[in-house]
Amino acid sequence: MNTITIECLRYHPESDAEPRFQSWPVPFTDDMSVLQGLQYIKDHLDGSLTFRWSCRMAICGSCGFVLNGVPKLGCETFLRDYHPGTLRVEPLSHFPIVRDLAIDQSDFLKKLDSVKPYLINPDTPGKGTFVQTPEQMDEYYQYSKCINCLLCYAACPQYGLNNAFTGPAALSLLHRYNADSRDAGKAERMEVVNTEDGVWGCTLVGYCSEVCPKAVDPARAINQNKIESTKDYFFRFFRK
Amino acid sequence: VKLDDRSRAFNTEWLAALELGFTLEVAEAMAHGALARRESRGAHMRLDFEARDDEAFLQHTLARHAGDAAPRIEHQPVTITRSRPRVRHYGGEGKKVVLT
Repeated sequence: MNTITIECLRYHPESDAEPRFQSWPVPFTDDMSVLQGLQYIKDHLDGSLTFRWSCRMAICGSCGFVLNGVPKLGCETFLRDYHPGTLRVEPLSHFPIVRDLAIDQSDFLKKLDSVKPYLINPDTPGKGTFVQTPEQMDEYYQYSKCINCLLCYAACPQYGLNNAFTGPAALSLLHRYNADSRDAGKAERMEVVNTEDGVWGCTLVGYCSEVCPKAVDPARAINQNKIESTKDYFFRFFRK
Repeated sequence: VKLDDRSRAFNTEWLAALELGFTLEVAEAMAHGALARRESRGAHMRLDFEARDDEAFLQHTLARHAGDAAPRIEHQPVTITRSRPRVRHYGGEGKKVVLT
């Protein structure tokens, strides 16, 4: 069995003035994920190492970390890919640290709420089921696969500079509903889209789309909404 | 159970220890419920009672906490609404697969 050095950022709000790093040698097999490596540390070496996890199969979005500088899910990244080097595990960038590798995601949850991520349609469901063509479904389907893991926020330099920016996941979930033929809530969401901290906070770096573990393309969602926002701005004059 | 982590901040080790206690209680309730259910039904399969017994066990199992003693097992009739119970067949109307 091989051994890899895993170096984790530690931060304990009760006793640490600032974060520090701690390393452990971790024996691993070829099928072991980074998450399993952290669990090995917690079970055998230091029970106080703190991190979030749940499903172990890239559907819950709990175990996002920055692995050697790249935002990734611990559960679908393998230790063997870092051997014989060292693996450095840090909490997701741009969020306050609650403890060790666990971040405080309340800022994102507020933003998620602000984009009204649910179908708004006064006609549902009283008039039976909505019919949707495969083409209509294609318009939003990829955006619906977001698991709120926040890797895109850790990847986004704009969010890092100014966390008032609504950000990649919230804006692509906004688009997931705006682009849905069953939804009629677009006007309500345009208020979020149109602001400086809405789609216009994005400078099209595109790293969000690159790190997404579910192949959602937030950069595309945001930039499609720059067009929508521009149209919305001009059409206002005609409506008056 | 011994804890390394004595902290009050996001103590996941303590959480796991608390959950272990609850998990054991649920496991105990499941084991006693399964012993009382002298039949096979769905994922509950017993070698000593291989058939489903709707007469006696078309019933919910209710396990009631009884302090340190084993949970008290009671049964409650199932209210059937739209789907009538019938025989479930698996693998081509329940025929045994003939391996060639």
